Amino acid sequence: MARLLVFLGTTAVLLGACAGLNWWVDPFGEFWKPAAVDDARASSPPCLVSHEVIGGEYLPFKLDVFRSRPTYKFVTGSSRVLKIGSWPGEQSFANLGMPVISPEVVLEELRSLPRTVPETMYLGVEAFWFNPNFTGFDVTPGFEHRVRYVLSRSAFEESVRILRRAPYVFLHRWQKERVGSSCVIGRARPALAWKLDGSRVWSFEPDPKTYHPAIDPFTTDLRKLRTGIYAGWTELSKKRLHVLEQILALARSRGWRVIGFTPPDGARYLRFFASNPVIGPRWREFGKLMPKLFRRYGYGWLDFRDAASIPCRHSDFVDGGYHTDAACSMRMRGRLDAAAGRGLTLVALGDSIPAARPRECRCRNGFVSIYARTLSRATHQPVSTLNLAVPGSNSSELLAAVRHDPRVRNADAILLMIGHNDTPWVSPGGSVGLLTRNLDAILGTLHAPLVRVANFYDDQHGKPRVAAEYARAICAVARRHQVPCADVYDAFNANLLAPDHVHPSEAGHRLIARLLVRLGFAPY
Amino acid sequence: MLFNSFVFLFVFLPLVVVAYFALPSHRARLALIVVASYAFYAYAKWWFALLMAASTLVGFVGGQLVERAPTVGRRKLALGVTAALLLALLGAFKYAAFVGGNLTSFVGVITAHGFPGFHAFLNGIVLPIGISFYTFEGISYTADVYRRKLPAERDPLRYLFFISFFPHLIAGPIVRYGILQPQLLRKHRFDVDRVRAGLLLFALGLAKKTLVADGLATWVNRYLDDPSSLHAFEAWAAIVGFGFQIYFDFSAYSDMALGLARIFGIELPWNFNRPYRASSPIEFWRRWHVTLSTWLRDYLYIPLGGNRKGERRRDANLLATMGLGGLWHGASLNFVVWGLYQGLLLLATHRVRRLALRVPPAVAVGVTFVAVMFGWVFFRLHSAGAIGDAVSAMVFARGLGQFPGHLVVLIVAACAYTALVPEEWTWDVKSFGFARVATVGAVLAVAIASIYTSHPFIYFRF
Repeated sequence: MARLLVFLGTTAVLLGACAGLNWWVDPFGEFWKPAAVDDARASSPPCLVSHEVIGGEYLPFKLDVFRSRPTYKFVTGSSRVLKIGSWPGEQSFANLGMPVISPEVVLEELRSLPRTVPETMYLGVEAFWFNPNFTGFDVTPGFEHRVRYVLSRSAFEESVRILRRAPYVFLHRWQKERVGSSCVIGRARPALAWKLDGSRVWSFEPDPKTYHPAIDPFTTDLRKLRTGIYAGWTELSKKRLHVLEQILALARSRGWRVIGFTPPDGARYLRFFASNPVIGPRWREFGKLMPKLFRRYGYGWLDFRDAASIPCRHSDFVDGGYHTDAACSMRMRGRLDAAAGRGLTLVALGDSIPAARPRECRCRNGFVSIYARTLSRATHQPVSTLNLAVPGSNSSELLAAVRHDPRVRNADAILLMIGHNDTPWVSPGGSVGLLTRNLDAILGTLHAPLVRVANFYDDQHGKPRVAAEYARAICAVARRHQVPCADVYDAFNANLLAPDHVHPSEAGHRLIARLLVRLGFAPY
Repeated sequence: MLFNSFVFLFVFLPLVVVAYFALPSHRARLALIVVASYAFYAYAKWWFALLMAASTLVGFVGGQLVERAPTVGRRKLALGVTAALLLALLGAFKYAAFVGGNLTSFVGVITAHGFPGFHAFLNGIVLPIGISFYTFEGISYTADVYRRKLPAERDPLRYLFFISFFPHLIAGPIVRYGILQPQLLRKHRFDVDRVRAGLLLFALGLAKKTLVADGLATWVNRYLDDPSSLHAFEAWAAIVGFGFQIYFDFSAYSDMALGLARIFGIELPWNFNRPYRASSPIEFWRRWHVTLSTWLRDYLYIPLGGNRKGERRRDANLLATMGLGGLWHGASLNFVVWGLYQGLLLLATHRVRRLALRVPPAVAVGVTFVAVMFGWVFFRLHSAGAIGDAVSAMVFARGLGQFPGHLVVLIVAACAYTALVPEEWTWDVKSFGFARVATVGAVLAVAIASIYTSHPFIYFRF
């Protein structure tokens, strides 16, 4: 029995010593150390916290960031949002993003946030999240994982390496160090550090002589490209889409305002993603689906995939096309703030009827202005109007105009009234078929949460039967796109025409606005 | 559950050992082991346990039917049906994807139509670990009853224990019921020396796995994961390294199984006896995975006629036995090729023996070593392209390349160990004094600390 006890005792003592050392040194940051973050906060000015101290304990760190500040606005997403930080002096912003995050972890993170204060959330959505083969980082390692860690030889060897480099770790697990002009709570010169708002700092930023992220070598091999996160991506994962919907539903149930966005990629990657036979279809589907999904929950979407839309340049990527630097990231922040803080943007599209030039309608307010006021009252938000309607425009011209207009892409609400100039008595060669096709394409490009269509009235310059056919066709196309349509044709009469007998009078505009208002303001 | 996992080492094993000796009744202990073994097996996937239960039921009922059959013809029929049912289970889970995949590919080539849905279905079949081992155990039991070497077991609990006993469940040794049954009839008292000996053997096995086999695996995989980049030095070092890796890996598992069984008072048959010291391929197979080679001999080679029907028939029987033995390792053509290669080595040995050459023992050992090592190419690499790459590198068709110093040092150390140190299961661990016991305890601590980066046992996939 004595020998059995010696055998088991020797093993137990040695494993205990290994576990104790690994726990104390924690070489790969598997244990949450709130005291280190407290030390950083207590310093004046506040220090950065080294990644060595935080390690993989992102979730408790980010929740601590959120709770320790009066957070009213936060961003979450993958490592590509980590450079989005606070404005100078801003205390109410937190970066809750994490490297290799997945929608499941975002949901878990959001569920952990206190539900008292209404928040504004900027949600960075990655296309690769919807690759079923992508697996995110496990932010809640279980007991067995921790036991394996403290009893691991590789952790022990790393602990010994750290102790050789920084013997003070025997007594103090971290200390205040200087990297360039910054103080950092850590135990060696860190490659990465965290600000107390949760945003990330590369060590080359405070000290250019230190670590700079390597340029990510571009490859067309999907198994190697960005560690294989796009490999085998043959469909948009329904499970992950469901989780994203759960995130948006959670935000809505808590009364949060949400702006979704996707971080930018370098031009070379963008071209590759768009043209690759495996990724391309998914890439395009993602681009179409996200605005619709966010719109369904009443939220806005900013598509930053093309860095030029922010605008950022190739040199703004620190690693050749994946992670953006601080300047570009803060420009993204500016765009997000503008989208969140400006109230709603109402865009009007169409011809001279929505354009409502006073000399044509002899009116002070067109139906777009009247509708904008009502929308503002109904949603309790300021509404800025962009009336992009062009007198004389027909559906073909409108289609060409809206396709690449970022103002249309980022609109919160859109009113569309087109077709009068497609009639044969205005444009010889115009037809219902052409209008239907163009309108179909136009509505396919509009992704604003609120889109309303109105058909046009009979100004009695052409055949009444043809005008009726146009009016019915317009609403039929709108119905196909599940867009509400105001039937102006039925409600309008000749008394509501302006003296030019072409455009609506002020009363006519009021009627059109009333018909549009009756369609409601969902999803707002 | 794996032997080299924390849940096994720190939860499962201590609980089962304590509960086993705490139970007063022998039958309760057997029942405990059966329940624990099923939990051990179901830990990977719950339905694995159902599959093993089905295989156990077939074997148990089959044994009864074979024994009770009134005529030789009916006994043969009962044996045939039982073996067919057991093999059907094995075939469905292990070989359906292989056979179906090759058939559909063949049909696809002829008709120019693929069967992606069927391929996806076949690829979705999960291989239950250990199924090859307990299927062979069930067949050997029924065949032994048929040959009247042992009576059919009337006690389902003992038969359940025989099939499911967790130390040998996943990767052997392949136990015959005749060896186990007498040990199940008597109650095993708690014998501290035996328990300590079992633990020490287990610890030595775990150390061999995590410190030696896994150490070799890291380097070997680095080379063999991309055979197209190999040159002669690297290819030979990688293949010889793999030969030692698989030996240390599998013999480690066998030592651990023997040690674990010994804790419970059960002695399992040994599997390895310094195989790389063999002076001929025939001797190699008497030293390597002995419970499989003797199973193949007794239940396949001899029933096929063995060497009783002339030389040609013997040669054909040998090739068939070794080819099927290769296929047993995995549903892949490379294993069949490996088995046939081993069969050819055995045929060559018979031919050479007839010449009555006087070969110095060292030369015989060296030639056997090289021949066996070369065969591992077919075992380790699965595609014809990869095998071709490795072989062309080994025959110097791609130049010498760089000398893989790290791997060669490990190989030399492994070679010296196998040449000088007897198999651990032969060590008299019971008589170890305090110093040796403490040393093994320290080695066990290092082995446990190395589990974090450990590779799965190679033979688990068979």
